Amino acid sequence: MDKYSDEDIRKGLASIGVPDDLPEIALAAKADPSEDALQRIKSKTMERLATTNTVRKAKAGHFTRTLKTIAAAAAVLMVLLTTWLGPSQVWAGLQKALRQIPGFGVFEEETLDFSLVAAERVRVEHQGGYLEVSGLMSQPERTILSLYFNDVSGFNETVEKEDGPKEVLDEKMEQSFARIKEKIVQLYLRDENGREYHLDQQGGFSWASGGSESHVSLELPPLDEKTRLVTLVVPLTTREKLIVEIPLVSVAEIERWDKIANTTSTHGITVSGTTHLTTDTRVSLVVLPKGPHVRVDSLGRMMGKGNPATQPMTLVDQSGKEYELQRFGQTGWQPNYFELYFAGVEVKEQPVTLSIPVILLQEEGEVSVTVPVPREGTIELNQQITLGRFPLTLTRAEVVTNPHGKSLRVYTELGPVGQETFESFSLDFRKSGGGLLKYDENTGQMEYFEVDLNDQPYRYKFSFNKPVYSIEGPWEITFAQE
Amino acid sequence: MEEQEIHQRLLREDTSALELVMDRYGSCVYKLAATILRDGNKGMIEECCSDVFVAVWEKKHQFNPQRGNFRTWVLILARYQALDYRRHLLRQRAVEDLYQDDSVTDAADPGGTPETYLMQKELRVQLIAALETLPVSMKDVLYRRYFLEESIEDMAEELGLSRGAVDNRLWRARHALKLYLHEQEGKVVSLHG
Repeated sequence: MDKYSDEDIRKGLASIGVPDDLPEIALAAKADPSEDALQRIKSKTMERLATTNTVRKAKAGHFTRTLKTIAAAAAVLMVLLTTWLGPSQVWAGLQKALRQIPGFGVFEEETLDFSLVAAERVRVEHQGGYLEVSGLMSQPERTILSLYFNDVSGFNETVEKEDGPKEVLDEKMEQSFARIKEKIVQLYLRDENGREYHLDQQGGFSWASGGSESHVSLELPPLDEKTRLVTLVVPLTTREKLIVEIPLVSVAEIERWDKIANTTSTHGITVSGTTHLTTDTRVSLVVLPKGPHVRVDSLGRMMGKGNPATQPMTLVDQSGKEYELQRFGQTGWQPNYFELYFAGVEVKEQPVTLSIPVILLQEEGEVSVTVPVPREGTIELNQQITLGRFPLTLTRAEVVTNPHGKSLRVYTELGPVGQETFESFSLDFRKSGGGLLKYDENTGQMEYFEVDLNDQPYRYKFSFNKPVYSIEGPWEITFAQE
Repeated sequence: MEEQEIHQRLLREDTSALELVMDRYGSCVYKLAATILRDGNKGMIEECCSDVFVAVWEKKHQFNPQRGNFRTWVLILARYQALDYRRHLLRQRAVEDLYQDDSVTDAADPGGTPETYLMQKELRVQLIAALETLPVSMKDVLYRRYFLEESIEDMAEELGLSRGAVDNRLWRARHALKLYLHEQEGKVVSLHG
C-alpha cells in the first residue's frame, strides 16, 4: 500500500481533468443559476462572437485556408482586375468625377472602360437561404459578376479544419473546391434576346466560404451594350434552377458621387458616404486615410456590448431612434470602401446621422523578436522594439496550462504616437498551429498574446506585422431624405 | 439533438449551435465556475462562463469525439478557465501562499521526467476505472475536493458534516482508490507470473 502516496492519487486525479459524471455527482446539489444570469451569459457570448476579433479571426483564418486552395483559379480573375483598375486608377480624390458601382466601389469616371453595371443589388430567397447578386459590371472584354450564396444547397461547401496532416487537409480542400467548381461552371447569364453567356475555359472565378455564406466572383463574356436586363440562371439540380433578373444601367446614368455623397474630415481622415434608404437600407462609405498603404481595420470599435472600450458606429434619426447595423460589407474590390446594411430604417422625411466615434487603421510593418521561454512561472522581459512607426514593449512571459497542453503567454504594452493609439498587430500562428490575442476590455488594446507550445523550447521567435492603431473622431455625416 | 450533431454544426461555423451548447450546458458550467470561484462576484462568474463558451467556439476543432464526450470537454474548458480566473483572483489579493494549499494545483502539469509522465498516464487510466467502483458518497467528496477545488470547510458546510467527517470520508475514498490500484497490479503480476 505504500507504493501510492496521497500525492500520487491527488496528481493522478488532477490529470483526469473532469470525470464524465461530475455534473451528476458533485454539481447536482448545487444551486442552479438564475435564468437572468444564464441569459446574460448567452447574450454576452453571442455579442462577443458577433462583434469581436474572435469571429473576425476565426473567419479570416477559414477564408485564408479556403482561398489558399483556390489561389490558382482566383489569381486569373484578380490579376485581371488589378491590371484593369490599376493601383493609381483607384480614385485620387473626391474632387474627381466619381461614380459608385454597387458591389464594387467608387471609381474615377475616366478610368471606367465598362458601360453596363447592375443598378442595384438583387436578392432572391430560396428555402430559408438566399442568393444575392451584389454587383455586375460589363466591360469590352468581360463581364464580372459578384454573388453571395447564403445557405443555398450545393453552394455552402465548407472545408473543415480537422486534426490530421496537412496533406489530408489539402486533399479535402481540393475535393471541396472540385465540387463547388462543378456547380459554378453551370451558372450563366441570359439577355433579353435569349443569348447565353457562359463561363469559358479561360474565364476565372474565385470562391470563398465562411459558415453558411459563400462569395463567388466570376468572369463571363462581355454583354451586348444595348442590354438592359439579364437573367442569372443557377442550376441547383437537374430540375431545379434559381432565376434572378438583374436590371442594368449604363455608367453615365449613375449620379456622380459628389452629387449624392456627404463628406467630413477629422484629423486628416476623410469619410464620404451616401445612402440608399429609399430603395434599401444601405449606406455606402469611402474612407480616405492619410497615406497610400493605409487600410481601414474597423469603423468604430466593437468589443462586446457594455464593454468600456466598445465605441460602435451608429445611425440615428432626429427622434433619437437608433438603427441596428445588420451587415458590414467590405466588397474586397476596392480598399476602404464599405457597404453597410441597417435594419428597420423607415425614415422618409427626416434626416439620419451616421456617427463613427473612432477609426482603426492598419499599416504595413514587420518585425521579428526572440523571447525566452520560462521553465516555470513568469519572467520579466521588458523588451522594447518598434513595429512600423510604433513602439512596442514585451513586458513579461509565462507558460500557461490549458486543456490541450501548454501555451506561451507574452504580455504587451502599446503606446500612443501623437493622436494615434497603437492597439494591436497581427501575429503569424502558423509555426505554433494555434494561439490567441487577448484585448484589454477597458482600452481595446492588446493585453497579451499566446501561442501553443508543442514542446517547451528555450526561446521562441515571433514575427509581428501590420500594426493597427486608432484615431478618435467623431466623423459625423447627416443624410437628408429626398 | 445528439452532441455529435451539435459539434458538427459548430464546425460549420453555425452560431446557433453555440446557443444550443449554452442552453444545454450553461447551468453546469455556471455551477462549476461558481464553485471554483467561490470568492469571486457574480459578474466575474458570468464573465468566466462567457469566456468558456467563446473558448468552445474558438477551440471547436480541437474536440476529438474519440477521446471523450462533448459535455466533459466543455466542462474541462470551464474548469481550466475558472482556475485561471481564480489564480488572477488570488494574485489580486496577494495571497500567494494559498498556492501551497494542495487544493490549488496545476492539474495538467505532469511534472518530473518522461518516465514519471508515462507512469502518471497509466495511473490516470487506472484511476478512471477505480472511480467507477466507488460509492456516490465517496466520489462526491473526491470530485468536490480534487475537481472543483472545494475547501474542507465549504464541503463540510454543504454536506452538513463536521470537518473531521469530511476528512475521514476523503481518506477512505483515497484508500479505496489505492486498494483498487494494488488489486489491479496484483492481477497484472499474476498474469505474468
